[in-house]
Amino acid sequence: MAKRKNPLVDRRNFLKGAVVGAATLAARTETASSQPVASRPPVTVPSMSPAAETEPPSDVEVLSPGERPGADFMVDVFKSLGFEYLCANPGTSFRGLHESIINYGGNQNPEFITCCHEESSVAMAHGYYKIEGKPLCVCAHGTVGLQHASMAIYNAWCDRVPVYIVLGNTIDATKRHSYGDWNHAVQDAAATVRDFVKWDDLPISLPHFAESAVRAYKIAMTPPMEPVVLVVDQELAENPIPAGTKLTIPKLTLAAPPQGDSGAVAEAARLLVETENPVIVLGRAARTQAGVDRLVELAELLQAPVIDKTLRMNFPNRHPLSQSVGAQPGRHGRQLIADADVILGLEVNDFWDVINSFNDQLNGTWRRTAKLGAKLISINAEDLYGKSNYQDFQRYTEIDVDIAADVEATLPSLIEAIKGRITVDRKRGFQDRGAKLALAHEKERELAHTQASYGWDDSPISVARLCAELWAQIKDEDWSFVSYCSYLSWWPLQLFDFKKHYQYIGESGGYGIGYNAPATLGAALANRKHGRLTINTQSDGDLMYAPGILWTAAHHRIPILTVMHNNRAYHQELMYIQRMCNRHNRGIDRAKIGTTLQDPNIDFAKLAQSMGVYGEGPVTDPKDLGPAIRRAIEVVKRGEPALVDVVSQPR
Amino acid sequence: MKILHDYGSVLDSVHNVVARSRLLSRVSVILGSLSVMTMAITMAEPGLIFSASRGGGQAAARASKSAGAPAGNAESGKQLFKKYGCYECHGSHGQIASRAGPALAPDPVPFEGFAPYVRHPTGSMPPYTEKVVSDQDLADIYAFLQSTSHPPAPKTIPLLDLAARTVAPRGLAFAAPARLEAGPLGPAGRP
Repeated sequence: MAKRKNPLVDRRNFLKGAVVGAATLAARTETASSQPVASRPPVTVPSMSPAAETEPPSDVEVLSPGERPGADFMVDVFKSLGFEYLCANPGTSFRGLHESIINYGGNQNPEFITCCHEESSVAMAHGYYKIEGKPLCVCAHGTVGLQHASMAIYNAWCDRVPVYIVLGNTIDATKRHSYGDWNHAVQDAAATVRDFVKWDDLPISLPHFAESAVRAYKIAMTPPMEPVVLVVDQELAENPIPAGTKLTIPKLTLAAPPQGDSGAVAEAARLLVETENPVIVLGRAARTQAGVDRLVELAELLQAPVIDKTLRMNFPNRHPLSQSVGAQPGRHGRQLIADADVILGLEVNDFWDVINSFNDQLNGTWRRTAKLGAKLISINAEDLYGKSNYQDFQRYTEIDVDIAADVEATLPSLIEAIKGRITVDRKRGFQDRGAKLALAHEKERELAHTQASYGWDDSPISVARLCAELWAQIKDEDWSFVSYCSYLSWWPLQLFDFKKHYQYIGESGGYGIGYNAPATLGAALANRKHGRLTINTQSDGDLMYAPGILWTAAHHRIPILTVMHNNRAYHQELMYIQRMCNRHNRGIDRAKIGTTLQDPNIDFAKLAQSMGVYGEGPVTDPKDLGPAIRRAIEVVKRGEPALVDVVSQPR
Repeated sequence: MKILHDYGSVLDSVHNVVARSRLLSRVSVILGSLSVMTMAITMAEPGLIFSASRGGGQAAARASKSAGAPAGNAESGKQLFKKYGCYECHGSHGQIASRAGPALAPDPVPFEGFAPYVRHPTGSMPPYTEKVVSDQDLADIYAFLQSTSHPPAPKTIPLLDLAARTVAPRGLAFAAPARLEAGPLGPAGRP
């Protein structure tokens, strides 16, 4: 390390001198306008030292030629893992890593994506994974940044999404130089989120970093996939790599996803073939398009009804065997579950909810909706890993054939086992069953379209109309609908034609609001290189958590069409408060206090425009909506984000 | 951060009550008005699931609603439907059928089923006691629901007609209903 010392002026004294000089300058200015001047003692003004201006102070250190900071090696490790992007709000505790990414790494693979909130950084990584199938890297302060990020990490945890989180921290207390450094330092940074990440480590050397970085990636990507945390010591990143250190980057080997036990799979196949009334329920079943294709093959083989909870794009919504209405069973679907002899749940983490119904009255009660004695089969990787503090594991369910395994990895053997058991007679029975289900499917669709026609010309605009207008504009594009559907009463899942895995990505996992806007942008970031038209129907309440995501979209030229579902309320909560008001027999007159976003109404078009995003609206007349969406799509096709603010019915 | 709850039970419970009410309505066409006691016995009939506002027995429902409903002011009911937050789950026309709530209109269920359910819901709907919604307000709301008309047929709305048409499969092929009846299992090329 090269050092240039000046014994007369060190950095701190130089800075002190500068401060005193500035203060004195201010004092002199004041003095110039005051009287009398003569009575005051002469002021000695320490002038800036010529030496300080021409020579570096004593503790300024720069790397010698050939020296590299530890962060450069860390960037090499990140490049080896194939990260395309790194999402972060800048933070002092990882400034060394930041600098190496943009300079040494050339700001490519990973490219630094500037986020205005750490929650947005993680949510972007969340959405990106569900399109691209691989994690993004996120950097944050080990304290305040992580505290911002924690809700989004919990969402990813609940949604079984790998996010690769790197936290900055200053371990050595003697190296923390300021008030802020101490406030941002922590003994055990990962402790804040350890309950909802799969693995974390604090490497104390660069070889240790390399091994842990690769291990973290592997653990995150092994089902059940979850976020991981790597804590980076600021000194390790900023200081030069010690001379003579032999650094190697371990080869990444991803574990093959676990297949189900062959005996259990054979038993599942037997039950499914022999029953007259099977139902297939899908949670996060498909990880890829191959998964979607396998699920179609399975359903068609059995001609069995499919209830898709749509936590991922699992099954084409217009497939005749689909018996869902949006993400719900629908009337016919509920009857199918009630009549089922065998229910196969594929990556369904709330099986209890499939076979029971909750009554949210004064004394909440459950009642079983499935037949007693119905055989339950589960294939679920969540059985392979879990933690106790947070309760996202849901209620315990008595499963008859419980297969702890990855669904996609197990489907081929299950399909083969089923094929081996189907006789000609059973095929005939399956055909009859399939024909009935196809008719029921068509009937549900017709009913949905009739329901969509109510309030067609209403203002505020009906949610069904909003979605129908949107579908008319995107149907011929290579589209990817990546936002919440539940707040739209699942109209997209009833009006659009979902076939491909990237056309839908499910929701947040943990129902932590503030997910949608950044997660959809992360999905759009992944879609960009594929040339897909990314569609986001955006709730007003969600966007207000961290609206800076609009700036990120504009700054990084991420094409995404955002259509506001602006019902001017936290409507879900409004309904809940209304429920409480009536349960307590006080009337709902005040239910809007604390649950609405009115007075003033938020102008989302102007909000978008203020951050460099094309914005239109508020659109209140349904006749204006189609043309507004068309204009916005033209902007998106030029590679930019666009937003249309639509004042809409609540649901 | 918000937690979503399952509204499925709303539909379950309302559909069951409505189903029972429809059953009641059919009986009422024959027998005339029934007491609440009679209805309670009828409501014990299990296993029926109907739409809350439409479907079979529409004529019967129309016949009974005029017989059993008290006089109400539809215009006032329209305002009250909003004031009491009914529209939040059921839509401004009482039309929404989703997890948030079942469709109420047009062709609402008979008043004999409607009123008791509002007072003592069995699903996740909040109870509206007489203290919160008076009997007259309830009658006005019911009159509003009765006054709502059917929407135009989806086929007459170009955008909905568009959505109704199945788009040609792009990449993924799957069996159409006709194929299921006549052809081999699964799409061509699959066993």
